[in-house]
Amino acid sequence: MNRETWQLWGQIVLLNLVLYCFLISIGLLGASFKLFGKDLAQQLVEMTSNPLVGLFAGILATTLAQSSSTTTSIAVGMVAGGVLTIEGAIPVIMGANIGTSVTNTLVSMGHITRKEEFRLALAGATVHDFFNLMVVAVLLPVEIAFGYLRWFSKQVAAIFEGVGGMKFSSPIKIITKPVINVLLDLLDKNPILSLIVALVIMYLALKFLVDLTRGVVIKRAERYLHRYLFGAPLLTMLFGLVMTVLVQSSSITTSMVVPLIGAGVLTLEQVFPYTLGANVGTTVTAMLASLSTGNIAAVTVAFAHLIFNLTGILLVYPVKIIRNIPMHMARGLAELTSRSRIYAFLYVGLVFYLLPVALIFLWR
Amino acid sequence: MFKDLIETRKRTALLFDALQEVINMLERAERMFGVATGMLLTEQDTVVDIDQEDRELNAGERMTRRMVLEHLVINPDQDLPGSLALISIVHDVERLGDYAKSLIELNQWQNLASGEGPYPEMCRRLYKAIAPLFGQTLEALREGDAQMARQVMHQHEEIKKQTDEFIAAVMEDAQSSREAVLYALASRFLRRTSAHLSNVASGIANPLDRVSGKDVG
Repeated sequence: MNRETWQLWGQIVLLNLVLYCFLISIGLLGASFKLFGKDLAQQLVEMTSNPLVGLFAGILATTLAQSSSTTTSIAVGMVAGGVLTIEGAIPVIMGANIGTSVTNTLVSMGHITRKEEFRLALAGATVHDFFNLMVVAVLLPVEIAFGYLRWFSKQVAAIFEGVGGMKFSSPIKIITKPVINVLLDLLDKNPILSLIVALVIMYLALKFLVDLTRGVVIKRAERYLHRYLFGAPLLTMLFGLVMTVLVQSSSITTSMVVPLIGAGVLTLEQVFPYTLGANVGTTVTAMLASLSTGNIAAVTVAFAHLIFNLTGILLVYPVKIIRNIPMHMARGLAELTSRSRIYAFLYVGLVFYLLPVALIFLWR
Repeated sequence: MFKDLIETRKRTALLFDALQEVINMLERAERMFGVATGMLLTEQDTVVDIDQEDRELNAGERMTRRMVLEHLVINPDQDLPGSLALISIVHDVERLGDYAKSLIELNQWQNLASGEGPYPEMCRRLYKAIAPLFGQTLEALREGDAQMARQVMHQHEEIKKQTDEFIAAVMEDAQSSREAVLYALASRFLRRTSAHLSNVASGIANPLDRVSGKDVG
């Protein structure tokens, strides 16, 4: 074996270790919330009983952490810990979907000094934002009125429960539980300390996970990128999905193509299905997190994330007129910013930071 | 410049595919040159659609540029000099197609093989000197062989001298100006073909800042 192969195997072993740490953090998070008792649970459930508060909390948490995986994993951990209901978690997850799109919009800002390049890059980046905003605008009211995501996800999770035997004996839980118990003992079962340790491990694990996968996957993906990014839309979508599953971050996969859009090599029409695939691929982290909890409600929330994104694609992509809406909106914003770049800052500041903060406080 | 790419990372690197695209383009340019000089110097007829071939070369250049850009977006810290060199030499290969087309266009005025005096023979000698440079440049590109690339560059220097002598002979001759113009143009196009091949070779043998220059080895 040459040096490169040894390096690759080393990275893969490290990747598994980091993944294990991530799963432990989810278990510890759930256990910490259980240690807090019913009072916290009641407060959080009351707070997130307003779906709009949950939605904006999801947006804000994700834009601040720059990672939807962190937000959705915390939501899954909270559901497993019994402090958040499935109903309360779904808007948070929808918010995480919107929040995650800020990263590639910020990446497009790197082109801000070159007007034409910035116009293209911003349109390519914000098509992700507008798709997510549009889908949430349609599906959140539908969810509030009919609870379709809850119902559908419960059915899917129930099948999973029966087949995988994962009711209380998830195989992942079996390998993580002893370490979680040791950690809880070391922390003297202090809920605050446990929560802090869980969040720190989760943050670091996700950061290393993304960094490592970027090293292992992205650097070797250029040939596939060339082959599939410019191909048939369904293949492009599948490529976006697979890449995001492997990298565990839709921010990374969507951000890496922004310079190609800015250079005019990649069109908005070509990048759109890739973005949608990335949206679906990012749900895998919450899936992994939920499997480690062995809690069926947590698995339901993870499936709700997946089904929400799949419904979004089915709603928007097949019909050209509807498919064009987020693209028109992205182009419109890009045109506006080509007149004055202040609009780009206004858009990011308002949609991802100021409005969520203001609305959370208003509704509280 | 491309030896490491060819020897160790051809299984994964998109830049290797870009290099392959340039090699394919150079093979096409060699065919075009063969057709052009065949028509011009031996009155051979051709069934090759030269415009289509030229369009393919142009498409190849665009594809190469795109692949290099994609590579630099994903792996900006890898093969930066090679990427920039490839962007430079792909343009030289594209220009080879243009000169092949220009040589064919000369044929619509007069077939140079039918001319009298020493010029048809001088033209043939130039052609014979330039034609092998394609194969040598291709081999240098395929293997990343700097030594072979240097040979191409040195042979171009010889061809330059030959074309200078050719032009001087044409200018000093009292034959009809129309024919003189055609021979001068033909020698010019042949010299540019050789020069572009030398530029491609310099991308293999020279450091980036000396690509398209003389051998600095």
